[in-house]
Order: sequence, then C-alpha cells, then structure tokens
Amino acid sequence: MANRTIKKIYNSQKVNMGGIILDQPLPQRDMDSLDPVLLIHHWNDKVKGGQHPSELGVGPHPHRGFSPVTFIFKGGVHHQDSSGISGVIYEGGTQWMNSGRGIVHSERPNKELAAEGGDFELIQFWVNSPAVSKMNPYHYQPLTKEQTPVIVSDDKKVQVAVVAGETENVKGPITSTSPMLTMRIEAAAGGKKTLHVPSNFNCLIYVLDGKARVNGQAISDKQMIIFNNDGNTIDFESETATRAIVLSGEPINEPIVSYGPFVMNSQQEIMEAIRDYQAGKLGVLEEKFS
Amino acid sequence: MKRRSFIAYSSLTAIGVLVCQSGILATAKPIANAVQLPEALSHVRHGNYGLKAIKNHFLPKWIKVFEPHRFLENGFESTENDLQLFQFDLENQSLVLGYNNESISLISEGFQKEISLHNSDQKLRFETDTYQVSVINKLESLAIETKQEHVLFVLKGKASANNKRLVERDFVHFKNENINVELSENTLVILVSKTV
Repeated sequence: MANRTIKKIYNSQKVNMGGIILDQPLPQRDMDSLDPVLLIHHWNDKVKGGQHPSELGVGPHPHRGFSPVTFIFKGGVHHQDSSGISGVIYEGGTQWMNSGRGIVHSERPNKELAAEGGDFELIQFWVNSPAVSKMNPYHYQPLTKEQTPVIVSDDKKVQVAVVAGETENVKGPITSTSPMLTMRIEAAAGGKKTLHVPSNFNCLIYVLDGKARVNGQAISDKQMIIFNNDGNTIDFESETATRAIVLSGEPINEPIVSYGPFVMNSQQEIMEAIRDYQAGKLGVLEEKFS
Repeated sequence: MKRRSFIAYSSLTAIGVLVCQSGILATAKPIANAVQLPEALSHVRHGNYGLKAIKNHFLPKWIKVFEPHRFLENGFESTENDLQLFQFDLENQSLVLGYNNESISLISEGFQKEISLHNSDQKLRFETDTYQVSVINKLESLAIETKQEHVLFVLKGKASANNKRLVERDFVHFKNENINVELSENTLVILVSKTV
C-alpha cells in the first residue's frame, strides 16, 4: 500500500449556466478533463418558495454520448425524460444517467421545495462513455440514500457512501460504462479514514465544504485535489465537519469532442447528435408537474 | 412521396450567379426590410440548450429557423474555437450549419459536408427538388434572377443586397425579385431558396 502523491490543487470558478450561477471545479484553464470525468458543477442555492417547479432548475435539454450524474445533498431533484421516466431523488441519493444514443430530460427542484422554499444543493459530474457505448440505449439509474452502502471509519466519524465501483469489499449499486469508483464522504471534525482507490484509476477529491487534510495536504471549501497515479491509498482527515466527493475511474484514452450537452469522439458525431436532436430522434419531453 | 435528389459538390461555380449586367442592376428594387436574428445563446458544458423556433412574419412559412447557439469549446469562456450553430427545418428536413474560425459544416439526413473557411475555392451546397441551400464565404458579387423565393441570412460580417447594408444577424426575404448581393471580406452568408 502506498499513498498517492498530489499533482495539483484547484479552486472552483464561477460559471453561468443558462442563468444559473454554479461553482465549476472542472474544467479548468489548464485541465480540460480528468479522464473519464469531464465536468463537475456544484450548485448550492436557496429556493425562495411560492414558485412553480417549471420556473426553476433546468428545463428540457438533450444529451448523448456520456453519463451525467447528480449527487443530491439538499432538497430533492425531479428528473423527467423523453422515455417517460419521472421521479424525485432526495438528499443522499444519486441520479445516474447513461445517456447513450440520446435522451431529452429536465432536472428541477421538486414541487414541494418550489412551493415551500428551502435549501437546494447538488453536484453534477459528467462521466465519459467509451466509443463502443456511446450509442447504447439510454439507461437511468436512480439510487436513494438508503440504497447506498456506507463504510464507517473506525473512529465512527467518517462515513463513505459507495455509489459505483467496489472498495473494502463494499460494492456500489450503480453500473457505469467503464470501471469507476465514486464515493461521497461525510465527516465530523477529527475523523480519519484511509481510502483505497486502484492505482491505475485517475482520481480526484472535491470538497463541498469544511477543512480537511488529504495525505497531509490542507484542502477546504470548493477545492479540488488531483492525484498522481502512483499509489492506491489516500489518507483523509477532517479538521472540521467536511463533505467531499471522490471521483475515480480507469482512463478511457479516446479522443473527446465536447460541445454543450453532447460528448462524442469527433466533430462529425457532434453535428450528427445536433441534427438528430433537431429531427426529434432523441425524443420529446412534455413535462408534467402533478 | 416526392423523389428527392441530393447533390453536393465543391467547385468554382458560383451559386445562381449571372453575369452582372447593367440591365439587371437597373431593375433591382431597394429592399425595405432587413430583420435581425436574435443573438446566439452561449453555452458552457451542460448549458440550457434547447430549440426555440423564431416567430417572425418576415420569414416565409416554408422555413422554420431556430434561435442560434454558441457552444463554448473550452467549457467556460468564449474563444475562436467555439462551435456556432444555425439550425433550420425545410418542411420535414432538419439542417444544421456549424461553424467556427476554421471550417463550416452542413449536415442533414443522408448528407454531410465540411469546407475550410480559408479555402475560398470551396463552396457548400445542398439541394433537393424544391430547395437549395448555399453557404457562401467568398468575397464576391451575386446577381440572382430566378423564379424563386429566397431568404438570405448574414451569419458573420457584412453584405449588401440591392444596396441595402446588411450586418451580422440580418436576414432578408426575396420573392421573384432581381437581387444584387455583395459580400465584404470575412463574411459568411447562407442563402436558402425555394422553387415556386
């Protein structure tokens, strides 16, 4: 067992996603992606209440060629899509979408949150699909908090929820299109846990809030650590109450062409995705808010 | 079902060009209306990309044009490598024009062609029995005199149509008229025509 060394620490930057201001730790100016993770968006907001859900969140939009994944931390996210799926996942849960050959979906605060107001926080990250999987049928995997297995540290202060992949004989329920290990960390102050990540996986940790030390390196709110692939353990120590995510995966090593909501291997495939969406081949979503 | 034929070629042949003759220019009427497309919506990765048809009574019913979009290539700020989109439907045919500083690509079902913006000898044309789509980025003059209906969109740069100055995002609709179009340098226009 050897600790991974740290390659770099990044601060998040603010981006405007269609009027929604988000924190974006990835991409960065000098790092377009960490194969297979293409993007991380952290959305933390207060819903004022007295609104209809159609006024909030992100309305119908398409995807093709990768998996958008949402970890919900506060509130609930109502997912609807052009295949007819509609459901809400609440805090602690995950929405993992293998968009495959394409889907149109919306993601909004659930109607109770829109009406009553409250906290709304999620992280959405994008996982690239290998070329052989990009045109697979669409597959949606919702996972509640209760369905997500948790590893607890010896000092009982660090909880590691395993969403996809396997570590310490605990297997996450989600099926990814390439080998991954994704985890959610919730730690009380003074907690310690050694994380085990395969040495051939690219790996990052993003801290939503709190102060921690990772392999001795201080990290805090909205910072992201990128690791070198030179070890298979990471020592995590929380100085304050800390929430973080660990995203790791086997690099796919294929060309990436990413524009807007599509991620393919060539510009031609991007144009085909846009054409197919325009022609209605990715489906049409008529949202319902009953 | 009407048989459609798809023709795509790159050549030095200008599209619908007649030799400019003083007779044609003399009969060209001044254009009253040049209308603007909305500004393109910029998108980081993810974004709020969706298709919204432009409702404008200056557009003929046979073409449905969608609000333009710009996908940021690096995911967070605008650069020359962004992919700009001009999307429209001709009856049940969806066409997508994508362009950046290097190339232009036109795609529809069963058709895809890309040309370099730096090679002025290349032209981009899509044709069916009823419609013709021409993408022009060459400094030139066009005199169009046919029994057709046309919509000319200025996607980039400046042009003039019958001495009416057109700037980026302007579009004009012509029907059975003689038109003299002149493009400035570094201009990209798309001419969509319907045989009436």
